[in-house]
Amino acid sequence: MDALGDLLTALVSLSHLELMLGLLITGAVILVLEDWRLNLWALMAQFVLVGVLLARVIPLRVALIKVIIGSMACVILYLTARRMHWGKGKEANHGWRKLILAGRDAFSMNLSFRLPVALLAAVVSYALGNRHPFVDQPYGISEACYWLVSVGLLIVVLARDPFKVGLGLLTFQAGFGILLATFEESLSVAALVGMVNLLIALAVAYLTATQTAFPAEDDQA
Amino acid sequence: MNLLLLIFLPLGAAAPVYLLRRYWTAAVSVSVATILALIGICARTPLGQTGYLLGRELFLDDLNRFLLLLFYVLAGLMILYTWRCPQGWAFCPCLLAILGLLSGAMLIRTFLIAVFLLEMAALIFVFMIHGRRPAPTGTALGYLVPQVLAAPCLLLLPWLFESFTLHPENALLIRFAVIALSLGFGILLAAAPFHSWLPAAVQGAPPMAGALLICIFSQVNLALVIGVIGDNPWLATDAPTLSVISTSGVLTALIGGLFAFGQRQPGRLLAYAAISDMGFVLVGLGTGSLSGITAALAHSVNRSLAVLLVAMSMGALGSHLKRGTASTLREALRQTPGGTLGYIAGGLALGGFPLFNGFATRWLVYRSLTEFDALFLGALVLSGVGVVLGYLRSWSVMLEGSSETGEEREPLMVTVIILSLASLCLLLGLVPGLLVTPLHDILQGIALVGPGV
Repeated sequence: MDALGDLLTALVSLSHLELMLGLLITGAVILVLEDWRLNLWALMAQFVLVGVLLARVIPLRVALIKVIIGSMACVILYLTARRMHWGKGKEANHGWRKLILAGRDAFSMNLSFRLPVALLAAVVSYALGNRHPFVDQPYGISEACYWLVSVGLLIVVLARDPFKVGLGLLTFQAGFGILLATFEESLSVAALVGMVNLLIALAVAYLTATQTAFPAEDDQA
Repeated sequence: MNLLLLIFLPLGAAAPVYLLRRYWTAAVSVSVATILALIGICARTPLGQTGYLLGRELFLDDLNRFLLLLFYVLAGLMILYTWRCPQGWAFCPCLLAILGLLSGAMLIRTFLIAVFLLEMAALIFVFMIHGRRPAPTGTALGYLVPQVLAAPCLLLLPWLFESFTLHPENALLIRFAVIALSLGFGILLAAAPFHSWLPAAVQGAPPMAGALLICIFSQVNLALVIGVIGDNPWLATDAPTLSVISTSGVLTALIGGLFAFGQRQPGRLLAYAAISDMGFVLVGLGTGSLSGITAALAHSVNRSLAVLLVAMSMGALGSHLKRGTASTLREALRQTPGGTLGYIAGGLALGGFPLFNGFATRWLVYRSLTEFDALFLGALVLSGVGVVLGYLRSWSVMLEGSSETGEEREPLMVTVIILSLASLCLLLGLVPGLLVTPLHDILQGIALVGPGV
């Protein structure tokens, strides 16, 4: 716990621009890329960046709780994806073909649509955050909140499988969590937000497992 | 202590019930014992008792006790039904966990925490959607996404209320509060135009899970709406909240009724009928008067009874009526007497047919409207007609039966529960005072605008 606290304290020295850039990249990676490993790493990085951003306006231990619970949600999703061999069917077995297919599968089919949409969402979030900030907080809290909420909604809308929808919902929750943390700094509320995030991860893991285990029934139904 | 037991007893019992899932009778017995204990604790706890959860106050008042007892009885009936008609391994443990969280949401005075508890209960429901065979993933996602998106709207409300208290001159805050309230509760109550998730969820989930969604979750949401407006009276006096609720109610009733008329799938039909009934409840609530709120709550209780009756009957007909064996009503009555009679009675009650409980409280809602609401009245009558006609049309589909039936005859326990519920619906239709008078007494202090008609 202390080591994690020290790490977060060290990361607090990141500049506002670096943090925003990090959130922009992680959100865009989840929206644009299809590879589940990359998506999960991006989600994990997003939780850490949100924690660092929040550590400037709320007590460090509350921010730390958010990072720890976010990591737990990522672990739940990782274990589910591994156990269910998520995306295994798409991969070729060996050789150069595997490399080419893996590279192609990392990007979603409609990349030319998703990338401009992500850019548009980033521009709109920046403009909204500057003109209509939610709270009188510095450090780009409003911009980060707008960006994560909008990119989370975009991921949910554009996703077809429960795993990706779950990533979108957790991104959306991370964005809203920033806003809520600035209004309500109590530990109990942070814990409840964390429990909701964990339940979302569990529900998504369950739906992913069911979809993978009973694909025929799912199609028929 | 007693209030904490209402939350933690079912939450604690969920784990052993889950572990006992392979010994079905034992799991059902533990679940029923827990429900009986909850009923006993709730009935014996003195009114006005307080407790603390996460440092926030819990409080038991008349309305809470009435609603909690209703939930426990409904949950008990659901569990007894699942003893003979299993609804999937997750049903009993999840139901208990949900009951604990919803009890917390009802009892806690801090709205923010109540919304969190409600959201957690809604997330646990995801595990019930897959019954004995997996529901379509789209159904589960179609349920999950709106629940997660609705919660932030409600979580913003305390901040908006606080800001309004500090800056009463800021009209924008009122607007934001009404928008957040309408969006959040509109989605959760499946009010038009946010209703589309409910029919898909009820059609895809096992019948008892669908009934839980309509009978218990909606009531908790309704109680929270009443609590929020009661705690912030300016929402009723200075903001257009009540007119938004009324208008949304008429739209919901009309859309529910029209869509119910067009439906032939029993699950979707039940959901649209429930949506139409929710419209009536919202119209009653939107009047803001004592008579209107009483009518709204009484109608929502009647709606719960009728929905449970239809869901149980639907499940019985689906499980025990073999395809091709029951082409006539007489044969259906022989194989599934409870299911057949319950489906007819429940459909009529949901549509507000005279003599049934749905009619009595619909009449109260009509009476709570003022003379200027002729358009509302016409729309409400039309919606009721749509639901009754929808049920009449669906009868041929129900008589087709299923090719995946296990037993030939409906179990006696199921027949008894269904016929008891049907009798209760008829009794409350013939003597509506049994429900309306105690509710009227409970709600004496909660009129949002005035005494009303």
